[in-house]
Amino acid sequence: MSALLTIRGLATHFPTQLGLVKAVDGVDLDVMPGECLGVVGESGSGKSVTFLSVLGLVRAPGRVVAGSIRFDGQELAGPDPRAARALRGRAIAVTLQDAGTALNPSMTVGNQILESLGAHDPGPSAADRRRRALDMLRLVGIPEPETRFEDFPHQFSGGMRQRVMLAIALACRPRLLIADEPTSALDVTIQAQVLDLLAELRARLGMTVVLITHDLGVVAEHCDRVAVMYAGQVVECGPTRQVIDLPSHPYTRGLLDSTPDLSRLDRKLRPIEGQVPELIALGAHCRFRDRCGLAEPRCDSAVAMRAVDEGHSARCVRAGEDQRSVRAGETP
Amino acid sequence: MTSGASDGPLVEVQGLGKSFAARSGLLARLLRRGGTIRALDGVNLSIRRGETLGLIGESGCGKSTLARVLLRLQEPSAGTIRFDGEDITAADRNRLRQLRRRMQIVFQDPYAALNPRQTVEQIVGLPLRIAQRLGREAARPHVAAMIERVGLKRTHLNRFPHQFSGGQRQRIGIARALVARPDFVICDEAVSALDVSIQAQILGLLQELRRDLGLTYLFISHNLAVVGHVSDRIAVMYLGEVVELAPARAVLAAPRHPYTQSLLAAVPRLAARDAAIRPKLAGEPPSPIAPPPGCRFHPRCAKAVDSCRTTRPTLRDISLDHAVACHLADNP
Repeated sequence: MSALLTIRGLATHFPTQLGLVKAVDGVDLDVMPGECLGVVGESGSGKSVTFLSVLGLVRAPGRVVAGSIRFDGQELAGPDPRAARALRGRAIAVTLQDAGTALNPSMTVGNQILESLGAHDPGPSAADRRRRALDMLRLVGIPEPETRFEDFPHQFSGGMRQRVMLAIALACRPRLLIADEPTSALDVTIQAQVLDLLAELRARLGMTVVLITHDLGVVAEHCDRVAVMYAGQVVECGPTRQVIDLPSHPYTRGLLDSTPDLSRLDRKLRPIEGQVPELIALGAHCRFRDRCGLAEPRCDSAVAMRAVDEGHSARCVRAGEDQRSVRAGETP
Repeated sequence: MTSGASDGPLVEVQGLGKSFAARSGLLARLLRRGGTIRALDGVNLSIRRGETLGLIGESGCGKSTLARVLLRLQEPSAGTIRFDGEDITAADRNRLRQLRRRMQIVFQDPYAALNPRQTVEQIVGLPLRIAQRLGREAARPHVAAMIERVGLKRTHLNRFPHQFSGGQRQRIGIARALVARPDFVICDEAVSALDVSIQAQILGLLQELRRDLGLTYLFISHNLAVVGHVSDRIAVMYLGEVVELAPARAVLAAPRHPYTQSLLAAVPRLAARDAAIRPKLAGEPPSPIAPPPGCRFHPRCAKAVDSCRTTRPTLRDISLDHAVACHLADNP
């Protein structure tokens, strides 16, 4: 099976007064058709910027400086932005974390869905578009869609606003949905409702989903595969259960050990000492080296992704070499 | 460290209420109704000396209002607050100033809670200057010792908040709360804005400080896994009242209130589990302006019977040290 979205050597940099911030620096990723890929990482890991690059939404002066982004065989990072634009919104849609600010406060939600339909896929008639917009509200589980069609975003709760944003994103039946922290601002019971809705819609519409999140628990329960990002790079990628149960990168291990989890309350939380490196002054060495209890001379030069198992790889010199050593490296 | 009535609970609240008028102003216009928001409605709670009492609940349940009323930063509308045996519900300004040396709070947002124009020394020294009327010179050794105690350096004393990372700023907030050697500290979403690897560092620090300084914590968080990791006992709030209160293990392993059960089921976990057996909580919490009659949870409760719709359950002991506000708690 060939990938729906293929990212190779992606680099997105932001010039700042302090220097060049390499927010994304050499990301390779494949998103397979029909899967839900989790992209997990902490603030500044580059998980959002990677997919803003895919969507062509990187804000100047930041820009994609290198790499290839192919969607269904078509290059999006090429010199002609028009080809990419035709796909964005129609074949690739996005929902953002904060539905409160992402929606237009002065426009009814119905009109916002109509606007999305009109911009990307103008149907035969206005009545037809309205019917499809109402279908979208129904699809995402908003009660009384005819009444709510005329309401403004502030009249919806946080969970309902996230549903409205999903309706706008899905209005053109995209093949790929990029959901950036779709539930991070929501209470846990509402989060469960929205994530279940997302899973149901994915199954019903045969959609591919990239779920960007900082929450490994959300990944564990909703994603087929996971890519772990750190300081602008993918450091581990593989089937979700395998990555969580047998992490091969010390950062993934550290992330798991520092995550409070109701299924592992008997385990003491183990923080990762130190801080994420400045993205301005990155050396060639492994980016996790200075926080890693297993660092050795080999970590001083650039580290490539290495295969651990089928479909599972990690950016660590020890990956695939001796799995016990990574786990034994838990710092006391 | 504590004085006065030494055996009773350190903090005890009975029938605590806090109402806000919603008759005028923006909120009322948005909600298109007047009335009273009952943020707290008959809260009963005691906090034992030396324990960490976790307080969980979703947005709007009243947990932050409870924190502010406990410290008398906001005036209660009903009920009593006792601190170390003393009724402080009506304590005057002078008495409050003395009491606040012993009761402190760490806020969620380390960016907003620190004055950007003050140095770390000024920020951390403020409680000493107010509560103990110490001059700058007299305060300095205490401030320096506390800064080192929370994992920062003396050289940081002359820096400003913007020169620190989020985790370091939270350490500054903790130093400020602890410098006057309080007995009771409220942590109000104190780690919620931090990435997990840093969050684990701060949680570890808070636990260490509690042990070493003999502190009592009220640990407020929307994150059940975090609360599960740090608490001795857990109180669950829903729509302005405490609905379950028991040792952490009991709440997490054998919750008796249907709301607690749904809340726990909604939390994503790292361990594999069958998604189909998770009970789903439909709907959203009702408005605290017009709470439902009877049990406030009954409109969302799958187990509700007639008495739940008419009679409001009170928080009562159903077994040793396990209190639940549910008519049906005796028959699980």
